[in-house]
Amino acid sequence: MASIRLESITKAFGRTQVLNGIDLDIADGEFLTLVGPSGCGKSTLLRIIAGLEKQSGGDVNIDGKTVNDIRPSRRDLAMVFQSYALYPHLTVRQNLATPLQLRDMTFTERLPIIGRLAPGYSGKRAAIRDAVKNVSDTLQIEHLLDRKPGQLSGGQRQRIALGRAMVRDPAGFLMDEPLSNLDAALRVHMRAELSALHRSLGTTFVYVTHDQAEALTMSDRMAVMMDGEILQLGEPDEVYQQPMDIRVARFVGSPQINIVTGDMDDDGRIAFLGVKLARRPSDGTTGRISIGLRPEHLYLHPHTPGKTFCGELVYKENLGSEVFLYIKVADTEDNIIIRVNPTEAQSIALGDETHIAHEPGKALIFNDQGRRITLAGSPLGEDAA
Amino acid sequence: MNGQSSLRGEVGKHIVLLLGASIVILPFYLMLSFSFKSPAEIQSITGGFFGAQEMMTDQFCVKQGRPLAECQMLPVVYNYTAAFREAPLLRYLLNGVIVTLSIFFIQVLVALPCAYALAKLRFWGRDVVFGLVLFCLLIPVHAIALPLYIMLAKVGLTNTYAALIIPWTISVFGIFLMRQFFMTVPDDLIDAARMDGMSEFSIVWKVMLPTAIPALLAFAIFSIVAHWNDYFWPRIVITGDRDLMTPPLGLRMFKSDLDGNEYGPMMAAATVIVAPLVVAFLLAQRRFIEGITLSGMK
Ligand SMILES: Nc1ncnc2c1ncn2[C@@H]1O[C@H](COP(=O)(O)OP(=O)(O)OP(=O)(O)O)[C@@H](O)[C@H]1O
Ligand SMILES: [Mg+2]
Repeated sequence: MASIRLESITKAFGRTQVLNGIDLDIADGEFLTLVGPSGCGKSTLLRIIAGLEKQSGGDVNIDGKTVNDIRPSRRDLAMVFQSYALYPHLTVRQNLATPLQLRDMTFTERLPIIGRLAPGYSGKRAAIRDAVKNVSDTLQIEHLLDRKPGQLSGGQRQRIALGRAMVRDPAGFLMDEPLSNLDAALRVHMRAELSALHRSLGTTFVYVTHDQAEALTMSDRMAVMMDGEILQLGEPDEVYQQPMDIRVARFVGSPQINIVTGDMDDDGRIAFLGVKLARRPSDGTTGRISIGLRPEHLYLHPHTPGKTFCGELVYKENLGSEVFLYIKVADTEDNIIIRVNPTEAQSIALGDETHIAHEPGKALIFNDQGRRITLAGSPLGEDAA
Repeated sequence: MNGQSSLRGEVGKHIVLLLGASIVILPFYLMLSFSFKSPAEIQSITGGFFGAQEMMTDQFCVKQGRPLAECQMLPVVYNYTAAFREAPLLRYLLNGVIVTLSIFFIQVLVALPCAYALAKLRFWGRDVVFGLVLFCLLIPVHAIALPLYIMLAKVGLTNTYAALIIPWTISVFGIFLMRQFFMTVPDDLIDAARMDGMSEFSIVWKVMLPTAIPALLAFAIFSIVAHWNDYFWPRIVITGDRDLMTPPLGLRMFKSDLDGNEYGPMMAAATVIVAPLVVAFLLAQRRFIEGITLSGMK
């Protein structure tokens, strides 16, 4: 059990600044996901927590103790690597036993033959054997114990890597994209399994991924990182529904959120593509703004001036249970994506002119710096407008 | 038409290859053949590969005053007994084994940690150090032989095993080769070992060494062949003491001991001396090729 606390962590590789002042509090037993696009510094941050990389500035605290100068193996954290990093020359059993042997046995006890003569040897051997057995029972990998990693499938290797992390019963798990080498079906399965594992172990998990679906499904809280900063930290629902930054809004959600540019008149009324919003900014911002509209908050609607905008249907993406319509709207760069149900989708054909409205109160407004602007007033007014 | 021309191409290719092979094999063939034949057959170049194997008289044996009947023997027996009688061949072979294995062992001991540091640790000036390693690859041994000899002579180590071994213990080629191999080992594996609690030294010996077996085998073949066959260096530091001579050096001494016509025993000695290498290579060949394909498939 461990809480992890990062205080203004910075990291530079030579002259490139990779992390700019990361503050993060990870509660004991929490499943926290670090998510962000490739190259944003997630792995670097995880490696700093593990102690594999030294931060340029700031402190890492584990359970209230500063561990900046403590070796990785003494931090009582276990790490699961994207490439699994199993010892290729050892059997699965030996792979699982190695961390325990290194932690619990003295140098002489680890020696090949002389070790047997050491007093505590057989007791420790038995303890290690039991621990390996427990873990292999939990993960159902007993039948693989005598194979070498080269003789395993990707999914099996992934389980062994998990087992090697679990066997030490660490205070926290650090995982760096552990599922990214698996095929889609197995990945979905392992998501559920990892969540279950987290619940049963009750240990702190810090999980790095660039897949926002993993972050949304598994985590207690997720931290969206970009360009070496944490843009937003919160529960998955909150991050999805109330992104505080346009980059977060763009990153989280699939298909991507629709972003259109809008204007604000002197009176504070917001307008985009001929649609006017009833709510106004609570602070006095004016100028260019961006409006984010999630596909599920848009729907087909008969033409109504001031409430709908129109475009031409260019592509239908049929996922069976739902259909995404890609609509080319004049004055926007990207196609607007809206989610409809299959019956609705059948009612229109490619090339048709369509009119679209949005659910009142769901539009997300961002200022010219990309920060979220909160709106005041009744969203219901938007209907009336 | 097409089949014809490709057949002709194949035949042409094989003729060229056979020619090349025979040029390489011819000296070995002669060596082996001469080691079987009587002096007369060697002189007249008759008797095919094995010679007629007619009984011949061992002059040395006669000189010792033994009865003539006892001194009659097959040429092949004569050649090999003369080889072992005239020179302590087994001693030479033993020296060869001691020297080459010690050199290889210490080379690995030095090269693996160096290669690991150069490939996987980040420290100030690493690229400069690696540049120096590459630079050292360019220095011919003959250029530094004299200073090396003087240094060894000053500390009184000439005519010892140490003189044969010490100059070769740091193999820049070994460092370079292992470093290139270690570059291909994923960083995650090393980080995993660190998380497990291994020290950097344990990582070298318990993680890097086992994964580097194929590269190590390639290096072993290179190193052992080079030092087993080395004539130049033993010739410089071993002056006189026969008990320290390595096989190639012994072979030369052998030549000067016998009168010039005794090709048979000389070739027999040469055969004995190259045999261990050939056998070792034939044994290792399979593993060697396996190792290379294995590392290629990863
Ligand atoms: N050892 C290093 N030397 C120099 N730059 C590095 C080093 N390690 C990482 N970087 C740089 O730091 C940045 C962040 O790397 P990091 O591996 O943390 O990204 P990431 O968020 O994990 O990306 P991904 O999702 O692709 O794994 C990248 O721009 C990378 O080029
Ligand atoms: Mg990464």
